[in-house]
Amino acid sequence: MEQESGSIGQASVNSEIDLLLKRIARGDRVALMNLYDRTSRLLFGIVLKILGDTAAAEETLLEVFTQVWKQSGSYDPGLYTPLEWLAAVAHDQAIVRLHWSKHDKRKPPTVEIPVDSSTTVAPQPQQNARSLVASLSPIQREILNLAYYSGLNCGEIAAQIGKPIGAIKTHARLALTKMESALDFAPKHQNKPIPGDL
Amino acid sequence: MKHERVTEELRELAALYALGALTQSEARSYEIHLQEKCPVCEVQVRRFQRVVAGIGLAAEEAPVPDYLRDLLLARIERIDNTRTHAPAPAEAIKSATAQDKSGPARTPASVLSQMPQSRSTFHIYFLIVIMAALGLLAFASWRAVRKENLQLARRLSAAEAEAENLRILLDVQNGRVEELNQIMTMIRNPATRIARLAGQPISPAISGAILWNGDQKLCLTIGYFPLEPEGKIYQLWFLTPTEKIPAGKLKVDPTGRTFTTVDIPPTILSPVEIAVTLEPDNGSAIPTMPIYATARIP
Repeated sequence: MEQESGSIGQASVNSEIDLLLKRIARGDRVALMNLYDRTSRLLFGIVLKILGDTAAAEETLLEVFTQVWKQSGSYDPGLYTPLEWLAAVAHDQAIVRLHWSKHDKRKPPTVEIPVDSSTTVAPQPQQNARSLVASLSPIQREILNLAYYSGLNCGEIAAQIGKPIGAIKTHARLALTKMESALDFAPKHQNKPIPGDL
Repeated sequence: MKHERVTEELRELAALYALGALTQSEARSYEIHLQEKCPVCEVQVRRFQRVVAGIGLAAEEAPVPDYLRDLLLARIERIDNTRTHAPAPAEAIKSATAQDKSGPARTPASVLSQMPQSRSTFHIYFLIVIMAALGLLAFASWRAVRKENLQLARRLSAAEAEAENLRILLDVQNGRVEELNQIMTMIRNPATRIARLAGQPISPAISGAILWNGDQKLCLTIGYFPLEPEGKIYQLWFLTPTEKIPAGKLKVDPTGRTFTTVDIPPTILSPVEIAVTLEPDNGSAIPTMPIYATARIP
């Protein structure tokens, strides 16, 4: 998530990770471990928050980096920054596992998630993202959290927070639209005009 | 039906799809629409997918256990041993939309599956999924077994420590039983005389008894003493009308308890008075300190 104030810091972090992904695509294990050292704290934070279970989160994190190892070549810089792509892979793996666990009758163990508010992986992008999320209204934040971290759909969110489903959809759209306006899409699509854009 | 211009409804659908907030059937219908290569919706979805990906960057970091790094390395090595690393070319993955997905848009497939679909790649994917599932199962089993082993090891260690404590207690109790047997044997012997060992004003806390058996030439001292000062010992003396005979060191345990048997010298034929003094570590030939306790053998 790029904001003008942090674009230089972000560019640097993302350039580093981009290079690592290219090396990984060539089968460079050292690059994979560098990427792991660089980003695992953040990705583990995402999967742990989604799964709420340390053992499942550890397995998922391994799966995330295994996927990165196998498919780093599928990273398209036209769609995501490298960090966003990694976060998306981690999120998707964790949500899939979360859905599996919903079919599991056993109650998943809960874990006291260690809170670490530091931003060591990519300080500027992380701080920008946090500011952006913090700028949303409480209801918008709650909806995004329930969708992103709990994998709930609009109907489930509506039932959980006691609001009409239409309101949930509107809040979700407005929240993502607000966040979208802070993104810099130009470098991603400068050679590809956006058809039908507002 | 391809759209010609974006509307609020289309943006909302794209936003909810990217957020994974559509029901499974809604998501599937939308994916069918995306497969029609609707350029308007495709761009909206791409933009919102990037926005959603950015939400993760706001997450709190969490410390990662060190052993996961080693596990990752081992896993990568295993993967490389089973197949040649063949990354997909970047050119082949431009499509932002899923080609044929059965799940919600934001499954790993949506991020990672922008590779051309063919029967052979499907087989590879199928194999990868099977291997990943087997790997996960193996890892989960390994973790469960390791956790159980650790718990068993901890329990074994605790049980061993407890057994050791019990052995020590048993040894102590066996020692006590041995001592009681010895006391009973002496008491039952008619030749044994018993005298109270009384502390003197310098050490009134001393209390105990002397069991004297002139026939067996044995003198047993039992009782409790204050712990000796550093470099000192309690020494036993046989006092005759003419001399003070050193009879040996009293062994006092850390609780102050003593159970000490000494031989009565053959030269002593009749009961005597017994005294205890505090002497230097290696004992004394004659008492150098005041008498701490005495007993008169009847």
